[in-house]
Amino acid sequence: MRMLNAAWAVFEKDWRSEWRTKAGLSTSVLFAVATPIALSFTMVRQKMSPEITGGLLWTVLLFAALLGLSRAFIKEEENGTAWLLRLHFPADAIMLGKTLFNFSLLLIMQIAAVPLFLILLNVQLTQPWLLILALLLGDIGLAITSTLLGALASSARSRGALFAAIAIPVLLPLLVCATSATSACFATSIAGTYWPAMQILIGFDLAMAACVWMLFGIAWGS
Amino acid sequence: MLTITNLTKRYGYRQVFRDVNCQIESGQVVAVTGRNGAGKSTLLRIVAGLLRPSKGEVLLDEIAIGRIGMAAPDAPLYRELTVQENLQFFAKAHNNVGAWHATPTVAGDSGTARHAPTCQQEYIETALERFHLMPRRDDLAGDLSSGWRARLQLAVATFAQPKVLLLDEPAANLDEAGHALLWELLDEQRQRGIALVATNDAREAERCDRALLL
Repeated sequence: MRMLNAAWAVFEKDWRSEWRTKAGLSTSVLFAVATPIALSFTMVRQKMSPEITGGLLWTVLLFAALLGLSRAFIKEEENGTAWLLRLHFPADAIMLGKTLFNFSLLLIMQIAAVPLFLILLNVQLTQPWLLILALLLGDIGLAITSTLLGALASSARSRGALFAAIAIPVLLPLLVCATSATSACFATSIAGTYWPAMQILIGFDLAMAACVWMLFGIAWGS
Repeated sequence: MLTITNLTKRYGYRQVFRDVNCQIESGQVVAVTGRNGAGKSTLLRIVAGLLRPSKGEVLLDEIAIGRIGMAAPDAPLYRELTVQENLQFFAKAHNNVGAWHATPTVAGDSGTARHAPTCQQEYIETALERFHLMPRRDDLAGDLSSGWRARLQLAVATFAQPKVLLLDEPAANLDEAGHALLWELLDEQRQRGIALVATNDAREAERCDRALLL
């Protein structure tokens, strides 16, 4: 119970702080909103295949997410508050609080960006609920992975660049499966591609959750 | 009890200090002194478990997370949170139990005893009052002057009644009332455990029970 209270305190503090500075949120949302607008001008009257649409959507979401997600830990190191967290909070509470914060940041960014993407690019959405499920599973994987990688990269000198450099290769399986599942939601039939991709996505999320649970203490302590 | 054995710290080829040995009994306030760059802050960070030594070890009796309190001039707390929100955040870290929860009564400014706080808000009010932070409670920590910030750091550092209190140049930005409060806290710490105070001020060092020269 104490761990959950402490995790909630970290989550609440991060949101309060984010709401006042809007450093991560504004960068992510602006990128995620501006990209479909720019794309809509260049792709006007062009019919995109479901595969290209899915790929484009996840490219926008991934890069927008990477801009904001790295902030959760980097901000603590830059402001000199990381050692206060280490001294007062157990590592598992920090991990849970930061993962929740990253997940909620992704949700807000997608609520702003995904409908705009679908409308501006005139995408035919055949499976809205399955798309939401695929996005949610992708978000869970992104939030968990970026929590571990953010903690690892935060103590390095070039934190931002290092976070992106290690995040992209690690997130590649997630990106491939999420793109495949999302593309199926734009096709006339989901048969054959959606559920196998979702199974791998669930496996990736579970494996990353286990990794974070075991390695976060070491990454944060180092 | 705190035991430091053959403690050595190097940053690359630069040696900060070498083979520091010290044994500190409970009830002692120890000044850590030395020239600039001697490694006073580094030593405190190693004792807090925030830095790894290059060699040697620090042994602490039964210390868990939250039982070490630390205040340092380069720790600005959360600049985007108000004074009250900073205190609330650290209160939640310790399960909403106030700093003086274990003590049946605490002395007020007037010297009269009153009941120890039992809930978070009561603790916050008590801390704001005790550290004279009441007029600045709704100000962002980033907008505070260094003196006010030092008081807030002391409030956070002593929150959980730490067994080991580590203070890095605590008096540097404090006025006379702040000094008095600092020594009141250090006297309380003598009843509770150990305090290490990194200082360059000879008068501060003289008031401590022992000095460790780096």
